[in-house]
Amino acid sequence: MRTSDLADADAFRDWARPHLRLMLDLARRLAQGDAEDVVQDALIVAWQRRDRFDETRGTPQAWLLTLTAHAAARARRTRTRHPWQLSDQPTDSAVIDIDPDLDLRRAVDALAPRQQLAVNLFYYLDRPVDEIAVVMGCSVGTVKSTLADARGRLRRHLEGT
Amino acid sequence: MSADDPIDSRLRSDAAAWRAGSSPVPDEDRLLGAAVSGELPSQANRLRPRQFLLPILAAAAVLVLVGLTTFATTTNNAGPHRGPAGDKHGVVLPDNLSTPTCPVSTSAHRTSGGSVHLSARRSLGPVAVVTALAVGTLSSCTSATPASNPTSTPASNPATTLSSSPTHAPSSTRRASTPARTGSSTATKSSGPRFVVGARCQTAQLNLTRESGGVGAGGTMYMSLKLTNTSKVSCVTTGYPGLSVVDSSGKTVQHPAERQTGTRTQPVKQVSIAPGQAGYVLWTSSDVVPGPGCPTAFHGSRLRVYPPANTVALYIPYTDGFCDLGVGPLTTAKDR
Repeated sequence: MRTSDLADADAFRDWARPHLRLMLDLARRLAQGDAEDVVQDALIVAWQRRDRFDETRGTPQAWLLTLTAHAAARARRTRTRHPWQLSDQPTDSAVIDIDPDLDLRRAVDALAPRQQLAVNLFYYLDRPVDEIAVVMGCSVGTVKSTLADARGRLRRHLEGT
Repeated sequence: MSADDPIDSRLRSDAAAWRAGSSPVPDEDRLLGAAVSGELPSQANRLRPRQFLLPILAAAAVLVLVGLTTFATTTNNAGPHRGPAGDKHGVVLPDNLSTPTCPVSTSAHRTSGGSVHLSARRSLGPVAVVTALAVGTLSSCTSATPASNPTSTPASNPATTLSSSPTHAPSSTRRASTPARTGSSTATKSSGPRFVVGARCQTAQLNLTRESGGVGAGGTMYMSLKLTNTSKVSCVTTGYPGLSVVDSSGKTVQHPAERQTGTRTQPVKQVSIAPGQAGYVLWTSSDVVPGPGCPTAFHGSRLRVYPPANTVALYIPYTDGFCDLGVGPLTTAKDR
């Protein structure tokens, strides 16, 4: 690290800290056991590309969530390609579910990646549609139609079983 | 999103249950600290097998085409064209194969924003193959001059921030996966460099120790550092390490060591370090205190050493007083 980065590093920490919880929640939804690795990875990318963050294109939170979603996708790809490289903890013990709707969880996991991302952001992270649009890099209309498609697929999946 | 949609309400109630059970971030400072310390590689920067495969395929395709060209030229013309075309390609190709990174993908990755780099990497691989094929075909058609060598196209190094070493391959801008140095056990699942290409010495392969003692001469204290190759493969390095003393907060004290170029320092040479062997770095501190520029000795807590052409540093405790540090190139010689 360059010496001039040190003040920068403090600023970055303060800047990113408020969004960690949401990043981790999204990572938990998308990558289960690797959640902290995913957040870590997203933060490294954020730090490396901090000069490129553009306020006019969205909030810091939306940007960090985008990076988290990308990091989760990378983790998932790595795991699909190298299935022998399993994580130590298969599930995130930090989330203790009282009475989870397992059928629904499984159905959500089976959605297409974009649908999964939209559903997780909208329902589980309770994000407004316009923020989801920024995170996913598409229009509000596309977010809404993605959500509708996802619900359609969930309905078919759940009624089919 | 109608309220009477059973799936919608089912999702909402499950989400509420999930949120109620979701716990806060366990260790914010660790997550943030590791990110800014730059000592953990992002998965985004890791080499992937795909990146090796395509350049190799492209190179193989070019090799086949060049072979065909040479064959055709030999049988048809038996003229002067054959030699240069064959030689040139024949020589360049192994070079490319020995450093099988994908600089085309690299540049796509570096220049594109976060949202597009994944797709860009995918789409550029085939482009490289097509380009190689096209150029190969071209040269087989004209058959006279070796058209701009296709294998050299991807060699333009897109990010040269670390290129102090003349020997390093384009792969040097990527950190091969480095073991976590910040005490994080979750961040890396594999340890050590996953792919050792071109065998440039990576920080993760090296262990830093201080050679005992120091020799004072003419107002300068000469000290030696030892960088031991702890991996199972040889590696090559050239040039000066980055050296500075940092305080407990990681700030450089006084100034980083200046590179010494005088007649008393070793020349810069490429150094090959076999497993278990070590390279040495001679470094100096003024021991005339108070002296010119040194009203008092400076103190820090750790010595920070970036091995040549690396952005990840090694640290050892260092609390002695010092002033006006100097550093020589990495050599195999233990003494000056």
